[in-house]
Parts: sequence; structure tokens; C-alpha cells
Amino acid sequence: MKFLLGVLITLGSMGYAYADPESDRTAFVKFYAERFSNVDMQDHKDGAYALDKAKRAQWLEMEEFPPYELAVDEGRALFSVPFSNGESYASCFDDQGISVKQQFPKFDVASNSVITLELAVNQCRQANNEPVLDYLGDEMGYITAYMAFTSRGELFDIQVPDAGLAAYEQGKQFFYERRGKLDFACSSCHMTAAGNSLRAEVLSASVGHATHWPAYRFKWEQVGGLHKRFIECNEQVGAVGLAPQSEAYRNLEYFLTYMNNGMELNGPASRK
Amino acid sequence: MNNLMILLVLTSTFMVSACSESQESAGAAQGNEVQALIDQATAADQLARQRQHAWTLTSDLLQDAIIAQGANDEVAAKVAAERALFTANAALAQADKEQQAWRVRVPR
Repeated sequence: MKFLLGVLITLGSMGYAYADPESDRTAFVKFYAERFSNVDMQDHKDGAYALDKAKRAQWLEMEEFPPYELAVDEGRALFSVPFSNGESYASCFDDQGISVKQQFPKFDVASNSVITLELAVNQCRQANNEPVLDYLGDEMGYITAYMAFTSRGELFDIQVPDAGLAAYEQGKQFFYERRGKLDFACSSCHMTAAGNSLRAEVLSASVGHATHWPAYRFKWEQVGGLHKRFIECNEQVGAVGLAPQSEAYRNLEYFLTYMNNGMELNGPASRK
Repeated sequence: MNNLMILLVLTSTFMVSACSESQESAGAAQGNEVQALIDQATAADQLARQRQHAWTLTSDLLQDAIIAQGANDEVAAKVAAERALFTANAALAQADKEQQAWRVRVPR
């Protein structure tokens, strides 16, 4: 009897700790569907520009001469330059690295970790005896901007195998945990307060948060990745940001991108 | 009379010297106290960093404490170090609380 009770308690606590990711995603999408009943779910890929008509009009004008265009061109050129051993980025990815961004991040069972596109780019370089790129540097932005550009229009279909559940859960926990002296979670701004304004800025919905990276931000004056934004978000609430491509941020990206499954990839993008 | 004067001068010299020593030892004690506070705050901040819950304010306050200590402003150093310890402990308390509290924010 005690054994049976023990098994039931263990199974119950496992269920509590590891909810089914698809149930999570359904509830996540439902939350935004109810919150923004007049916004098409797919439109959230444009972030705050899906929620504010005036800002959207300005942004669409900006997109006529997109500031990330040069980054895509630079990335195309860098992507095709062979490494010193004659290999290239194309040799490291499926389909020669064209139209693969929507597969990332993915859980790698062998290393028991989440592999983001940026990490895969640096792993490719390491495997070919090239120095790794700075995750916050221009070159990484250029290459991932080009790779994202080749994936435009593709739908995210991130998989969470059993082995990846712990990483997914850690990312989920990070998203909902309050941190910093302001005591804010990612969800505080992008779920609870989504659609409201912080000073002049409209807070975007998290559904669609992972679709458009890397992005040219006027504030940064460069194309930067999602982890750069994570660092900035953490610091804005008074928390110490983590290292780009740290395990915690990769797990957070894994969770967020899974929440975006079924949405269209529209990176690179421009943001204020 | 001369002996009395000599005695007075010697006594006052000893008194000044003792007073100065006591001020020095008080200053050293305060310096040790400030250093202990800085060490405690640094340790708590490191723990908060390991738990991915450190606050940027703690680093700023620790920096203020170290700069004030370097400038021999023990009062300002102590105030900043105490605040750094407070914020580092608050970050750890937040990490403890959030270990379970996050679950209620997940939409069902």
C-alpha cells in the first residue's frame, strides 16, 4: 500500500513538473487569443506592431528600405566563403544550410543540450578549425540574418523529445520566474501586461517572440540575436543578464520557440 | 614647580598618544567590519549569480563600497556595503520564493 502510494506521489509530482508541452502551447495560444481577440494569431509575429496601428504604419514604411538588408547581403557573402580547409557552412547543415532556421533550436540527445542556430554556426566553425564568432558581434548577426532570410515563410515545428523535457521545463521556469529588483518575470511584461504601454512602448505578446530573429534594432544600431534581447530584458528589470548562449538562455529560447510552433518565420526583422 | 610642569607635559603626551591609538584601533575595527560586510555581500551575490537571480544593483553598491573604502571613507563604505548585503540577500530570497511561485503564472 505504501509502495503504491509512493508511486502515485512520484507520478503526480512528475506530472506537475513536466506538463505536456503541447498542452502548455495550447493554453499559451488560448491566453493570447482571448486577450487579443481582434488580432489574428499569425500577426503576433510582428510583435508590438500587431497591436498598435500607428506604430505598424511607421514600421511598414521602414520595411520598404529595411535596415537589415545590408546584413543579409554581408551574411550571404560570408556564408559562401570557404573555410581554410576548403569546407564551408553549407557542409555543416541539412540542405546546405538553406531554409533550415525554422528547425532551430533543437534538442541534441548526444550532448543532452539545446542547440540554437548561433551555437550550431560556432560548432561548425570549430569542427573546421576556424575561430568561433562573438555571439554578440556583427559577423554572427550577418550569417544568421542570411540564414533566417532563406527560411522566410517556413513554419516553426520544434520538437521536444522525452530527453529534451527537462531543458524545456527549465526554459519554461525561466520565463515565468520573477527576477531583478523590479521583481518582473518575462511573463509579467509579455503576458500580464501585453498590449499595455511602458512609457511610449507597447508591450508585445510572447506568442511570436521567437519568429523574427535576428533583428536590426535601431537602439543597437546592429543586427543582433534573441539572446542579446534576453540580456537587455533582464537588465531592464534590474537582473544581471546571463552569457549569450548560456544553457539557461538556450533553454528559454527552446521553450519560447516551441510556443511559436505553427507560426511563420519572418526574420530578419527591424525593431525600434 | 619644574617637576610639576614635566609631569604635566608627560601626562598630556601619554594621553594624546593613547587617544590617537584608540582612534586608530577604532578606525581599524570599522575597516574590518566594512571588509567583512563587503565579503559577505560578495559571497551572497556570487550565490545569487549561480542561481541566475543576481541583481545589477548589488554590483553597483559593492563597487560604491570598495571605492569609498579605498578613499578611507569608512562611513560611506559601510552604508554601501550594508545595502549591497541587503540586496544580495533579497535576490536570494527571491530565488527561493520563485522556485515554486512561478508555477501559478502558467496558463492552464
